[in-house]
Amino acid sequence: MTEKSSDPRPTNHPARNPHWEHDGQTLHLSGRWTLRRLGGNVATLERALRQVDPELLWDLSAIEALDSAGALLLWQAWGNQLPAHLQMEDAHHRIFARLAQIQPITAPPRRPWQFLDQLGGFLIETAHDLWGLFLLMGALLLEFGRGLRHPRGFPWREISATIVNTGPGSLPILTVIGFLIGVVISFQSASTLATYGANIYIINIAGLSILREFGPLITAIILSGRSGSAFTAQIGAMSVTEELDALRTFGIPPVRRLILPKVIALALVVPLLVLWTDLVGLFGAMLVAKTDLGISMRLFVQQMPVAVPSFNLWLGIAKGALFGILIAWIAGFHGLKAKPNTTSLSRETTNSVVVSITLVILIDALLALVFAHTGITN
Amino acid sequence: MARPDAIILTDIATRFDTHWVQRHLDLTVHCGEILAIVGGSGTGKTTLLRAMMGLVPIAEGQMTILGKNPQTLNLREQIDLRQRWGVLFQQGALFSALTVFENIAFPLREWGHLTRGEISDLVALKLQMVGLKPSDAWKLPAELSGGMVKRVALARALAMEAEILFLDEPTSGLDPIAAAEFDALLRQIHGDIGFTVVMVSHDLDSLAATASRVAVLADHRVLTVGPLAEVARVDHPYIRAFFHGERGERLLTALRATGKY
Repeated sequence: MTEKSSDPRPTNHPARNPHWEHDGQTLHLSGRWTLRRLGGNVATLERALRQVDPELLWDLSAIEALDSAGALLLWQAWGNQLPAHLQMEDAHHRIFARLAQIQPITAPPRRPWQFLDQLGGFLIETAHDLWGLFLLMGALLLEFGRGLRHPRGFPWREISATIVNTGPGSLPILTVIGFLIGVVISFQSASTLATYGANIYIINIAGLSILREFGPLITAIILSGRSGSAFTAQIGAMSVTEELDALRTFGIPPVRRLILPKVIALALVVPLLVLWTDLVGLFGAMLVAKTDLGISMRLFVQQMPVAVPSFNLWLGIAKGALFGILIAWIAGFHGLKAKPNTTSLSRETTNSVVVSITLVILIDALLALVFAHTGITN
Repeated sequence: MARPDAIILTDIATRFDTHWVQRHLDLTVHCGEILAIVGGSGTGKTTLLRAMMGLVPIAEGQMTILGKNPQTLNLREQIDLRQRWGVLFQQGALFSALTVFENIAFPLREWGHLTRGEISDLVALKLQMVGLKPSDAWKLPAELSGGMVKRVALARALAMEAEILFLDEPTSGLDPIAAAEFDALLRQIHGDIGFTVVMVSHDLDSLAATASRVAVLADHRVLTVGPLAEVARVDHPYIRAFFHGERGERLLTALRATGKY
């Protein structure tokens, strides 16, 4: 901004607003013609200046300050050219010289069929993702096999670190949610059962639904939100900071050091967390059974193994291991897919959670169908 | 010059966690000059720059910037004041989700009360100022070279017609040719618009090409400040190492040849 005033009044004084005066054949402009002084008056000022007789002498020499916004306003009022009679300083000349040279920015070309374009792009990306997931699973199996043959190079340290980070930290939230789900299941079933006098069946209903379905599902959903997103964000951030490239230059595939340990850790941790969720869920159910249906805790505990075969417990725990592998696999895939910028990183983190929760529920439903049709129901 | 100084720091102290970065530091930035801050690592060049921009609090002392003391202003006035300077961060700090156009237009859309057409024209003007083509406007930061990132960041820093421009190592990460081009660009725009520049730089060539004065930070304070040729004569271990190493001597020889030293 070119300034040249020794006006003692503060720069935001109203008297220093942009203004002009007629004096015979001359138009004297003064004040501060700057972005901040123009404020919301740009359109009004420009309209007023357009009304001025173009044959007048424009005298800009009394202007205190002129920046590019002020210059642009005058330039547009003049119809994108200098007026015939103009008097101003050299510094101001340079600003207008620049304005005369600007090439307008044209809007980016709009592609027709944008919708089809996006749809096609989405389908192609999905196909790529599926293939990528398949390849990643292959790489994980190969790395696992390699690890078995060379146990010294196995990422033990990373596995234990992941277990420490994901396991104990998830316990509080799983305790609260598992307990509440147990209470709600028991509470909702209680009134129906009481109508038929089938109070004792609360043990079958709560036991089966918690051990077989809700325990593993809730654990998997919490873990994919809590740890899956963290895995994706961590690996994605490592691509921003070029740490992934640094690993690759040492000849160490990121799958070996970053993803395989997470898959193994979750395969070990999630079953244990499922067991914990089962326990607190059953405890919640037991409390409601006692208060609402009059079933003593001793009876509840004694009848549980009889009413619900232990197969359901083991199935639930096995599902936990499967979901754990799935969550780490999906999270690792999206982490590696993230490009080193903020948009891509946030999109991949979201995708990681959405995809893994969807797949967890989908696989759970498929398993239920398979077991129902093969007759292995309990 | 009759105009008041742009920034006056009196007896400033800055702190990083528990240890003092600077104490009893005095520095005055004149209106319209290009002041370069140099100093070894850990002398708090960037901290000082960030303190001037209001991004880190000043632990002790008085700061007057554009005639105002930010510590005594309310939030509204502070925001008004902040709009009067522009910052070029070391890595550019362009918004990676936005195109070049949107990056430069961002502050104008937020604060400018301008129509779409005027914003577009102003962005075109800034692009032209920093030597970029209108067709670069729709690129994303990820598609730009290092030199272009700095240019776009400079255009964005100038978008609100900054009166003070803060540059944090503007030529770092650029090859010598791109760095020299950036220096020439800065000098040219500075000559045209006449804002005040405060920059942190290690690049001796860049200092010689752009700075009107150099402030050397050492021992938690401003050791000396003045034109490059004067500063280089001060006897202090850091200055000897910095200006009288191999590169520094080559530069001073070149300055001597042109009669500036």
